[in-house]
Amino acid sequence: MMKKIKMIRLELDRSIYSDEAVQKAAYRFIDRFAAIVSRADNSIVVEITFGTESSNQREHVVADFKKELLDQNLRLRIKTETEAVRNLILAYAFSKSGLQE
Amino acid sequence: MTEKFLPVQDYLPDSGTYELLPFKFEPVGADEVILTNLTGEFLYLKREKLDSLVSHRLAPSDADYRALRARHFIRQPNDRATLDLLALKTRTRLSRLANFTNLHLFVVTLRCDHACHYCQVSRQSEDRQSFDMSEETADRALDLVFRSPNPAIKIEFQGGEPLLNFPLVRYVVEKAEQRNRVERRDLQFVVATTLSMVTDEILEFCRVHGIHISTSLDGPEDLHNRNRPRPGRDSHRKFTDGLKKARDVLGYDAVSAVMTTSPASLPRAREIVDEYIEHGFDSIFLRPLSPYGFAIKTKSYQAYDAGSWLEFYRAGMDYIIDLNKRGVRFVEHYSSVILKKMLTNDDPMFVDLMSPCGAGISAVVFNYDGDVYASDESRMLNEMGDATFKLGNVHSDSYRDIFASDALLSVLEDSFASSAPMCSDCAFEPWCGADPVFHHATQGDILGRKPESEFCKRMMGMIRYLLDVMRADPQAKSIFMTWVNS
Amino acid sequence: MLTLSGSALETGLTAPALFRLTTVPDLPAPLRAQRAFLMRGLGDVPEGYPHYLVFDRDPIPANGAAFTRLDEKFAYLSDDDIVHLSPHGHVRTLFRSASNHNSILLTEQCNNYCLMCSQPPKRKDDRWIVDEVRQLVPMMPRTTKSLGITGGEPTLFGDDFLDIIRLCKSWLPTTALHVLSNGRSFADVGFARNYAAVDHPALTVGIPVYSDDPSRHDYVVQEKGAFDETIRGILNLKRFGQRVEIRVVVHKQTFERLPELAEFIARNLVFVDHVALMGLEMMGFTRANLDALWIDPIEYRDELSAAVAVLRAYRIPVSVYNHQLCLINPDVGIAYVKSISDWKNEYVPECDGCARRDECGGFFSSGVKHGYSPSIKPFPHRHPAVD
Repeated sequence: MMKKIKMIRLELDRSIYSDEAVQKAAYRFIDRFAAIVSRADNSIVVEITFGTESSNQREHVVADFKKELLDQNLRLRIKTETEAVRNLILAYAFSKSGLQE
Repeated sequence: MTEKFLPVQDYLPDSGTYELLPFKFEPVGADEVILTNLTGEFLYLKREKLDSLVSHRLAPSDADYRALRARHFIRQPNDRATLDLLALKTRTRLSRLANFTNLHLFVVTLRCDHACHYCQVSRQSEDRQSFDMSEETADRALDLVFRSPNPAIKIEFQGGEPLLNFPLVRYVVEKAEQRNRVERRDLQFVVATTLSMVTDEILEFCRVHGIHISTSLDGPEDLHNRNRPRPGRDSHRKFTDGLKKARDVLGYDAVSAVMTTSPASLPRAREIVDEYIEHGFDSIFLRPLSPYGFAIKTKSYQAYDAGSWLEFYRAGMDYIIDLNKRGVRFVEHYSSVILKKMLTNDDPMFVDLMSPCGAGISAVVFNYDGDVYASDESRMLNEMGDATFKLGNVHSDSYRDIFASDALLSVLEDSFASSAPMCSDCAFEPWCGADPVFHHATQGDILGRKPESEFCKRMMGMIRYLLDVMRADPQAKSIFMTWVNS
Repeated sequence: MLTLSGSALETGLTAPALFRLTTVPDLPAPLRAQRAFLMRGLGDVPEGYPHYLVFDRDPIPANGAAFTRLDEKFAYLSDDDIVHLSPHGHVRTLFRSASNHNSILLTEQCNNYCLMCSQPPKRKDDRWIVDEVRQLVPMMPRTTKSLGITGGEPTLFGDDFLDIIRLCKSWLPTTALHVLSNGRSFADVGFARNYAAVDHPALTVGIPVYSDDPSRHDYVVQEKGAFDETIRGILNLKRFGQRVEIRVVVHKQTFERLPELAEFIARNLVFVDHVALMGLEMMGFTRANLDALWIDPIEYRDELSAAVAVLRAYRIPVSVYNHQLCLINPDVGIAYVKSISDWKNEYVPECDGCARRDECGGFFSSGVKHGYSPSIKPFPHRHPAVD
């Protein structure tokens, strides 16, 4: 029988994953596991501790978490690229003089 | 085609020249995502398309490209109208916010003839002095009401049972009307009552002054009586009699009803809807219990979680949609609030589902003793000994003290869902709200830890249900479109 | 179909002129000086009219006054109609008092080049029309209910266009004015503001939007960037409180995204005053581009239903024009307008015995001539119950 591992350690390449993306992803999972995020050289380390879940459940959650990491990365890219136009739209929306002048 | 006309390809933009506009996404199933933009418009996309979209590799000839550009998720550098429209829609969404307080709740007494388990505040006491609002308090509250810059003013009388202190209701109505001869606001009155103690005299007063009645109906007789115990166990019969009387005098549309979901209601969604139909209502508000007052004290709040309520909600909605398809027009209001944000640029300003939260902005509560709260729920919280959301007291504080109070400002600031953790990147945020009082009450934190929040689970559940229905059933979507524009 | 433009049998005119017609022999002298007298058969010829119109073999005015002789194609002419006559015998009817569909064609130039244009644009300078219209408007009966201003693109004349609107407001203040424009000129805020400043009491501008997808619209109008200008034009007009109608011609290039277009309007242009969904007219460029444009309306009836449902849900007034009742779903009936203008509407042999012919707009004569849906079929009469 395999030994039950309750802690899982992920090492993420910092040239791909940003701190913010990792933290946001971890936050979305606080109802499913406890996570400690730290830095080591060129990587971000996520240490995940589970409660009483079966190994099957844990695998599922970790798989979902990995997808979430990629999604958060994508979200940040979108956010960064659209920040300026977002501010422009809000400035238009709040301007008293109205549009197009 | 003759040669002087150019083919459609000649009018497509060049590859890779588009710009992304602000949007968020959430996974839907294994290989799809849903995208929402700044103003709550949405569309579905395959995962691989999302990647090419963000990498500027989506081809202009792609059908998804057309939809994304038409719905303002991307634009060509020369698309000036896109920014104008997004700004205009954003402004429309926020415009109601600019009007500030519209709904003013007057708790004219805490006394009540009912003893509902889930009730937040009522008292069975006979002691008038301690739990009734005085004329002096009402005068001060009215001073504040008319300080609101909103051209529309709605005064809602609550309790307890406000009919137990009807002389004060008369007093406030007459005083407000008197002031309004100069103020010229769009002034409306509502009395929230079980109708158990309604008299001809009271109704005549309501008729003359155009006062609407908001009453309570929880479901079939046995359920209603069980939820709303009163001496004689005749709550439902009293309601039925009162409803008929009120409609006879005030007119059919001047009386509306709200329901509260007790644990006993959960398996009975259809019966509850049927009960509303039987009484001639054309809408219902499937309202979950709030975690306040006796609901927490008596543990009835913990009696069900978001999951069980969602099951109840979905059963009710399935039935309601089916009714509409059979030509019975019947609206569910909770869904309508969310759908309005999905399908229009209008924000219905429903106090629990606003961002920033509606506290103090769309509603303000004057308690019987002159205390001012940011929402009805904040008042309940104060009854439990938690004064976080008390804004002040009409006897000791000025308008400025109250509406620029730290209690209000910090709640507002903290409750901009678009800046809250997790909410800030949630694609459903444009359709959701903050409900800081809820999160404070259940988690001791205004923002709430969303992954563990029942509020978040409930909203996610409702939103996903509504999205699935609209996607699978165009007829249901058409029905929803009529709901949000009525 | 009426002949609105043609040749006279003979004319004694020495210079081109506009005439308002009358059959009233005893008008006061000052009015006679401004009218042409329309003679019908024999009878006394009243004195004092500057010009006379006679038909076919009718006798000429005995007083030796100038006259123009017309053939029976122009027999429809009647009191208060306005015609333009040239010394070469060219006759153009510019206004018919019996019609509710009078319109002024202000120019044949256009900055769009729509695939289905019924009035193909010309490049040549035709600003002379503006001068003619300046003469024409004050001659129109002040009781005229409605008047259209079309083109080409009438706004291309800029201030002259605004002058015409002003002139209409001055002479015909109770006449509802309907301008057909592609809306692009109004993307200029200043122009939109000046248009609004005319403050005409009953003015609407009808603007075509063919798709929610900018490149599809640009293709239909054959002009890159047109969609963007049109939408900004609509926004400016609404910003200045002007009445705007959106006009959609439904054909093979536009029917697919019709429901999406309706949603786009509901979400972005919910404040427009009216949306018209129109069938294709077999005129002008349409016939050249028939393969690219023609689709049997019965094939897009579900898209039409969906679009009408969306617009109605959002409480945007919507009308369906230029369609035949037997080609639409019953749920479109509520928006259906028997629209085809009085001198155009006709029916085809398949319509014989149709129980709903009186409610149906039928066809443009161009449709009858150049092709129509093979799906046309008469609604059966309900037979009275037999005891």
